[in-house]
Amino acid sequence: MKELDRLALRNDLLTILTELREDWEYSDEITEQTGIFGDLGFESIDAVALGSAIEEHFDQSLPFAEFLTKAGERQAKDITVRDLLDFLMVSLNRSKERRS
Amino acid sequence: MAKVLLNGINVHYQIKGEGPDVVLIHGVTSTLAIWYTKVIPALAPDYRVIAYDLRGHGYTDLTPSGYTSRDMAVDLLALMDHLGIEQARLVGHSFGGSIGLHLALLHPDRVAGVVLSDTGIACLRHLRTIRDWPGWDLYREQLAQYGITYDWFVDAENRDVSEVIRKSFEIPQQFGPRKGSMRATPRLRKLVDETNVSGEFRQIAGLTEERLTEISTPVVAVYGETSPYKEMGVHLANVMPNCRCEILSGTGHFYLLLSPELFLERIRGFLRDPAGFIADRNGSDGENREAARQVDSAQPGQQRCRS
Repeated sequence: MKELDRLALRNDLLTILTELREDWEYSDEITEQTGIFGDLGFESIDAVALGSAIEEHFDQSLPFAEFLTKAGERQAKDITVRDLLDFLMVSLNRSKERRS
Repeated sequence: MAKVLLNGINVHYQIKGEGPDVVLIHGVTSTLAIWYTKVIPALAPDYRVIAYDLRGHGYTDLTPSGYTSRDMAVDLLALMDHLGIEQARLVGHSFGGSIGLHLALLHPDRVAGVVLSDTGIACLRHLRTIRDWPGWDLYREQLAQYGITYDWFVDAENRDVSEVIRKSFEIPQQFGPRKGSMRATPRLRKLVDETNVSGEFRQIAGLTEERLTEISTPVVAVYGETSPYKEMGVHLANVMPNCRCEILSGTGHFYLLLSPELFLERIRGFLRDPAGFIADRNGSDGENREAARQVDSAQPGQQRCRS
């Protein structure tokens, strides 16, 4: 089975993030190191909206609440774009495996 | 993101799961995010769980006024109508509980039960024990760093609660994924600076002590042991005909964030069967229910608190 293309996923994620925060003041380039809370100024409700937007984009239910909980439990200072990409790679691959 | 135009504002909501309807109502200056990581995943296997952002909060539109528990109950009713919910179990954290009670007062047929999660009720402000609040011992030094002393707090809160809310913006987040970040966000500042929320959410707005006693909807009042609002829960169990109080040992006002599992454990039986849970004075299902009813009617409130 072909692995998901990380670069394509990254582009999808950046599109979702940009659409979600049309009015954000962040003008630097978003990289995999960018933090959604510290850099992009997300509030908790934005993280929830991001989860919904990701599920809508990929048209499936994903364990995003669990992902946020685990980030909180490991006392992560922030959630980076790389963390989100890792989450998406794992979750989407799993659901692909389940379907095949 | 699901939004619907109700009473002139776009209301943001989320739905998960299938089963009897449970509506989650957050408190002032919060959002539906408070339910997202623990409560919704725990309830969604058994219920259709609806969480929404109150007027002026999260992704729901902001208006200059409309922030009393009555106004918010009208918004909630419109959301229930839109979603085709005939009757719901309502779970309200803090001020969200007042909204649930207000809807039960205005439309008892639409509410199967109300869970109060450490709700401070405007008409019961005299029962708040801020002077004796054990939290002062726990947080005194921490709060002093931000200029919040006991005397300042009591004085400021009596004058204008918006000053207290603004002051709280300077304190780093204590919970959640933004822990350590400044509590102030552009949305929160806008809410406090551009609306009457600070004055309106503390209005009694018709939910008087007398009217509370008329609400026969099953209510479980879950309060933190060290919460300044705990006595309100005890009082409600004494004066409301179908109310039980559950005290969570070793917790305070924010137990929902710190110990959500403890809260969920206490409300599961109620959500399954609100009327049966209230009738059982031990809070467990099944036997001695009729005996419990008789005891409760003979000694209103005396058997209705559990730690």
